[in-house]
Amino acid sequence: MHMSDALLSPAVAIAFDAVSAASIGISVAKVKGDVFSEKKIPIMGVAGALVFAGQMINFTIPGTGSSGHIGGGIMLAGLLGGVPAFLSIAAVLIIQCLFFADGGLLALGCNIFNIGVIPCLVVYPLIFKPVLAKGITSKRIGFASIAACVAGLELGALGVIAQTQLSGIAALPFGTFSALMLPIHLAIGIIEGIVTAGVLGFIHQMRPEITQAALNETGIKAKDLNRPIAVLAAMALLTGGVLSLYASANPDGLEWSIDKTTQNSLGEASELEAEGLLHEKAADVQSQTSFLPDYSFAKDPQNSAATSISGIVGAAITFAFASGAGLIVAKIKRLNQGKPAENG
Amino acid sequence: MADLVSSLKDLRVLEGLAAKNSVIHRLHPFAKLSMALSIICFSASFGRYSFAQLSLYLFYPFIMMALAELPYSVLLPRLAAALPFCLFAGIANVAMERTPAFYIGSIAITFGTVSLMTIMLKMYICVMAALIMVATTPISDLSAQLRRLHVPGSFVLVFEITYRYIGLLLEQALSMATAYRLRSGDRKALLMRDMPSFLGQMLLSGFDRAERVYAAMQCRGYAIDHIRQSKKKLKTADIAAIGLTLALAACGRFFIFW
Amino acid sequence: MLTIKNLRVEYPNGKKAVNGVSFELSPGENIALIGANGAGKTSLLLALVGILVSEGEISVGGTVLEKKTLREIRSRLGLVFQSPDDQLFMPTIYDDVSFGPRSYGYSEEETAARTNRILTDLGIMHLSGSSPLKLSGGEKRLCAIAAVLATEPEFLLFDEPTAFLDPRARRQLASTILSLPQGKIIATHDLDFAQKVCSRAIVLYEGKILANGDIGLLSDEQSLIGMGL
Repeated sequence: MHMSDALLSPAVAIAFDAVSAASIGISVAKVKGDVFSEKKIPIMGVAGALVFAGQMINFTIPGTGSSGHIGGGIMLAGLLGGVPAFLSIAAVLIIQCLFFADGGLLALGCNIFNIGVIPCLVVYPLIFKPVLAKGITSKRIGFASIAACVAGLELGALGVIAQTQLSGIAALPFGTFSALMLPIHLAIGIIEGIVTAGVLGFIHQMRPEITQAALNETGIKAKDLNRPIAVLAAMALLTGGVLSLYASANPDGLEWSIDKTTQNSLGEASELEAEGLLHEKAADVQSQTSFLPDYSFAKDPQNSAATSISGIVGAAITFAFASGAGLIVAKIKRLNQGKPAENG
Repeated sequence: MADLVSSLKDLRVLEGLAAKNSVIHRLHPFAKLSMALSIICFSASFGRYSFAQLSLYLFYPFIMMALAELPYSVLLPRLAAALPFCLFAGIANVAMERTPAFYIGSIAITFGTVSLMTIMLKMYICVMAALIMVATTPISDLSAQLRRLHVPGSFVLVFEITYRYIGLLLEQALSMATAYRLRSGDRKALLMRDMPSFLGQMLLSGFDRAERVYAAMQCRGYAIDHIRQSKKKLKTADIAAIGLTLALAACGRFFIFW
Repeated sequence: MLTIKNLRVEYPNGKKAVNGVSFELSPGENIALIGANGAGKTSLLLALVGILVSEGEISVGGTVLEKKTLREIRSRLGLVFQSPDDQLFMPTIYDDVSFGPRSYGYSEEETAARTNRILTDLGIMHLSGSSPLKLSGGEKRLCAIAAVLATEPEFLLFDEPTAFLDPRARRQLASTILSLPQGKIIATHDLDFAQKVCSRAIVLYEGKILANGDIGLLSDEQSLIGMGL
């Protein structure tokens, strides 16, 4: 499930962009410290491309008649180690976002976090690796793969839910949202786990040195994180501070008082259309000046929105103007291009 | 295996578009990146009922599409990738918020409906802004720009290699899938039990290929971080384009039109 | 002069891929390296550029291949891989051809000048901005050669250059190869092609040189059968 720009607030998106960027930075430094780093870069690139191509192959899920495809985070981590796998997945997500509009540009941080950081840098070292540490057997590969895929997908889904909730664009309550998302991802996780186990088992049988080398990868240790975490914390404080300053310039109280003022000045005639319009305008000022979208849902939504027929009409007029402008530009361009052709 | 075919086609079509030459194509990659990002960030900053104000940003995709001479027939279908999740969240909003916002005649338009329209409009603007950037910027310009923005060189290289080999591996997957289909009584999708060896074979041959790619790179003097940044200066046109986009973004954000 | 003395290469499983090969390549000379699959042609070429670890001695113009001369040797010997897809790894041809000079630390201007010159020389300037994905087999082959020429090597090594080429692309490749002044080793199964572009043939069999002589030896079918071809 790829997060979309349309469902995120800038604050949430930018926070996750920062976390994901830092993860990439740390991972690159980690891979570079590795003896085989130079060799790993082409392998990471080709592996990323493999995951992308692998995701396009549909397979039928027995007993359901529906078809699925792989996600690939744990599979890659099992073949390359968590850190290189993460960089591969991050590159794939950037390509999917840019060239296939799958997940937005602003949402990239959220997607890299949910689909890359969680399985490769959290679940893989905490669940997958310890299971196989005692030696690789097909049973352990099966267990580790299913457990890690389920954990990775569930945590990723939780990430999507949390990011959506924090952004406040979607109104679905946390409970309902989770009830919809988590069971589906449990099922997907089990299927993906089985396929992952199969693939890793196959590779282990054919080329055991690959799976073994992946396990020997050191991974990110606490000491690698000291400086990046300090930098990240400073960044988070700074963005959080600036954004909350913005937000606090338009506290809920202000909204309430605008509400009050408009009502007082116009008396009880609240049903009148004129008042309605003014009221909206006032709310409009409020929503215009706040950089963060309105978070609260419990409040009377009328106060936080500019919604009226005039809004719809206005939007329609803008649409007409905008498309008209586009058409005019295209026309002018065509005329200009026509000229040299006529001359020649 | 329609996915395989269509993604291959998509990649090639976008590459073709990016190789064209228009006012927008000629802009500095930094200008295009910051224009797209500012429109996306500003759109995202609107609340959930800001349908009307948000509509002002429609000027961006409409005018950019015209200036860059991009075909809608190529870009519009790509909205499909972003659509399902946005539609799901939007429809959930319709179900959750049933308070009427206003009436058109006797039909009540609920807040949920307004927020659905807002999400859809936002999606359209954000996706188009990103696609317009990619459809007017060759990948080499894009990665050079990433390097200039101090994205680690080795990660950019991973990105470039991934991009390069996606096309090739899609072709390989497609021919393997076709061979599978021919021998399996025209199955549209693989049996799940065939997935491990199918993917496993692809991975193994992919790893061998990666070794050869690495060897070929070594032969040409590859050493980590040897790829240097190329410099490219912003021109007046670039600054003007960024300025205009920011002005449009600010107009939508800080002035009330409707 | 490229000198190879008693070269030995082992596979990881201990089997000998190349077993005591010695010969010399003079500037401007074209040698065809002939042999069945698994005869050791590719291993020999990879050993020459230090990708495979080898024993014996390899020297280019008096510089012996060792760890500290590795980069230098690689810049003087240009290896064109069997599959251009393994070699062309950048998104566009221009990037790929400029990869070599850039890696060797040439300035941006020098890199651009070399890249453009080579693309023009090989007549593929129009492919500069294209992605390797869109090219035909023949075009990809020329681009891979351009990518190798960009470091201005003294000798060129080709691994199966005619693989996957149609007759027309093969003819074009032959004329390109003949127009390049460098000394070349061309590992190939394509005997016609070898006879067209090479003056000398070396036949490998199980890692050893079975014959080393005038290219005319390839026209004697009976002796070829005798050499396992």
